[in-house]
Amino acid sequence: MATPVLLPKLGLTQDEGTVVRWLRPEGSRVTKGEPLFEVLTEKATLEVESPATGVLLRILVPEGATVPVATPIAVIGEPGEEIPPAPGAGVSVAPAAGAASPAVEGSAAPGAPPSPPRGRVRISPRARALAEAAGLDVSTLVGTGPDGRIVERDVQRALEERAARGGAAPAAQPAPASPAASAGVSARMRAVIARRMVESLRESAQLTLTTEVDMAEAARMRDEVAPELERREGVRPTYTDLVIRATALALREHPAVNARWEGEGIRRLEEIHIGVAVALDEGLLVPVLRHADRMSLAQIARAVRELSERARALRLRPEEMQGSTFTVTNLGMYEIDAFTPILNPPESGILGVGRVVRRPVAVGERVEVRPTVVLSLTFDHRVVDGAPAAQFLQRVKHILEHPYLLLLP
Amino acid sequence: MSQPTVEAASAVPAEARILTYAEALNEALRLEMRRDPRVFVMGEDVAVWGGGGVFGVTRGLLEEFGPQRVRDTPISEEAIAALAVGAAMAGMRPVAEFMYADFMTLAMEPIVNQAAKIRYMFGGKARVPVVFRAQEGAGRGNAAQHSQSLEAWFCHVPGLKVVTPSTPADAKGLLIAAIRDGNPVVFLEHKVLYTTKGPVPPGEYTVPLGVADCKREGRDVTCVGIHTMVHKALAAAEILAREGIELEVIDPRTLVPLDLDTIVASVRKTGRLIVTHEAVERAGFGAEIIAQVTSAAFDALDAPPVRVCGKNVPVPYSAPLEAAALPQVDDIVAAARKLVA
Repeated sequence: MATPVLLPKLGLTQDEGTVVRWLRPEGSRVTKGEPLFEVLTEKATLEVESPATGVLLRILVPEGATVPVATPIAVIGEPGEEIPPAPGAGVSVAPAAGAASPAVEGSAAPGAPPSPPRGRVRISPRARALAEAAGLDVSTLVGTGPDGRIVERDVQRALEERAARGGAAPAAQPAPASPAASAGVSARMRAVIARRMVESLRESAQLTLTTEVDMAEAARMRDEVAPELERREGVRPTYTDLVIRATALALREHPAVNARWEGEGIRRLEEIHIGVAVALDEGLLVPVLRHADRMSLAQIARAVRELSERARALRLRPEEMQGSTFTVTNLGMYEIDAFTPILNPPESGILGVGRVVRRPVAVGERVEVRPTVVLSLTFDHRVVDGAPAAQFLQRVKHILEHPYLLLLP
Repeated sequence: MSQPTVEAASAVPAEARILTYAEALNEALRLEMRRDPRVFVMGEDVAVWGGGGVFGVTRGLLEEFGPQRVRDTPISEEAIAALAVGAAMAGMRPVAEFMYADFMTLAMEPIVNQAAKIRYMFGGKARVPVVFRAQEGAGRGNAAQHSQSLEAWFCHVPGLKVVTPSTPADAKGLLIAAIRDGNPVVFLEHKVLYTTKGPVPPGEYTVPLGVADCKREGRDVTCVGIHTMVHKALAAAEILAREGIELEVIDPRTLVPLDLDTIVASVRKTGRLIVTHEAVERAGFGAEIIAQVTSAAFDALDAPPVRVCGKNVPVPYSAPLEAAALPQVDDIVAAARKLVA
């Protein structure tokens, strides 16, 4: 019995994916569990294992083609076995990339291979009925109802956004063929960023505090410690790493900032997971340092470097971009001094790091030239008031100006 | 105790007077007794002793209609019910009063096995045009044996109609409709509502059995309430309106037959449903309403329906505990806020 290989659903909001690369050629023998192909989702490239042992009889979707989730993309069986016709009434997805159009209807057709079990989407019957009537894929929606359920207003909002984009139903859009794959991921990432940023500004009460930090001591410490760390651990801590470490320590002492607004009240979060914004040509990703307050400076430096490299290669796993409780974002490399970062929902705080630059500073009665940096803290006033937010920022500043505190456990 | 003060009734003509719920019921009995000589009232203390019932619903009837048609009975609920069934089968139109619905438990055999079944078992050749009047509910510190709301017991019996008026105007029109119905009707009043006032049209009119009434329109949440809970829902709607949440308050008025269409139309509009009654939540009529709405309009629901009902306990005597055991305005407000959150 031939086994179809289906395009997997790897993220909660994923509705389609691009086959980046087949790791085994047609006709080769494959073993269940071995890596078979790479797929590009909204934000990352992932390796997918073969679902069966046998011969890769036919590759149905070529590299570079984008197809809906649960579309058969290959067939595994024994030599000479009959390849079942692709579902979707004569839509041959085979080598012609342009034919990779909506096979989404086919997945529901009788006789179609069973779809992989869909993650249960929490959605009200009313919202589901509305979404189905409008041809909207409910798995792409974010729920704002009780317990995160998708309710009518979420569907209405998605429909308004779709109307604003001038977009038709997703099913009506032809799937982009090969070279457009990167344009595809870019458009999808753009849509996610657009939705989340507007949502952030609409749903929370944001304001930004700034303070200037004298980095002379931090620079001295980094210059002394960096060569040693590089020799022993193979990493050089950056100023961003220092700020992340200082932020994690300060969050531990100011749990009010490590919290979120949940419908009727504030929920303080036990764990400190710091998101680090990484700019890409196509957009922006925020990989997460889990339990950042328990990481040494060297561990932070190594993790940030490793995660940003994989972010730029679009090779982060979805779970590596989830669960952050606070974000650090740096525009210093673009000669930016201060800015007003937008909260990364549902977080209540984001720290913007400007450039470290030598500036004239009053030291007692004298003017000295010292390296300084401006930190910009955006916080959610529903969760934190001005004074405690300021105290938190003050603590970050204090740690950076007394950088040996960064070395304490 | 928190007595409802909202005086609301829909579509009353300009010449309506302000009457209490008890006075409106009295007027209904009086008008029907004048109109139809077969109509008579019977029950504990309805005539001489008590001077017209403990809540005054039959006050003055003895003077106008005489002891043949306004009859005191022994303290035996079974006898009251059985006599009424027999009289109805023999061609009369009895209105039998039980002083407390709690003690209708003593009369279940004639009500459930006789009144509800006879027309069916005799192939329609016998009819039982009887009205069983009683008052139920809590809120007066009458303790566990005199405060129950037992409407669901009767709704469970095919062959009985069940009426639960919440306003003076509805009480009058529904009682006249019940007396004229030709089938056994369990007419459940509420002891706290007797002294509430509202505009009541003069003369004869009926409120048909099986027609719900929208007591307040709203866009966001449908609240179906029974008896006092209609008024608590209206009070909750005032509070919620200040927060921009519109509560639509529906009074089914009769539970059997139930006007499901009106409730479903409202839920199709709002997508959210609260059902509230004093009767204990477990196996209460709210569960029936929610089940019927869910079957009829699953696609209209934007949130799981919520019951705001009596706690699953005997009604306490202590006033603070009694209040805690009953659903209150704040409970409806909280439920509505949560539904739209």
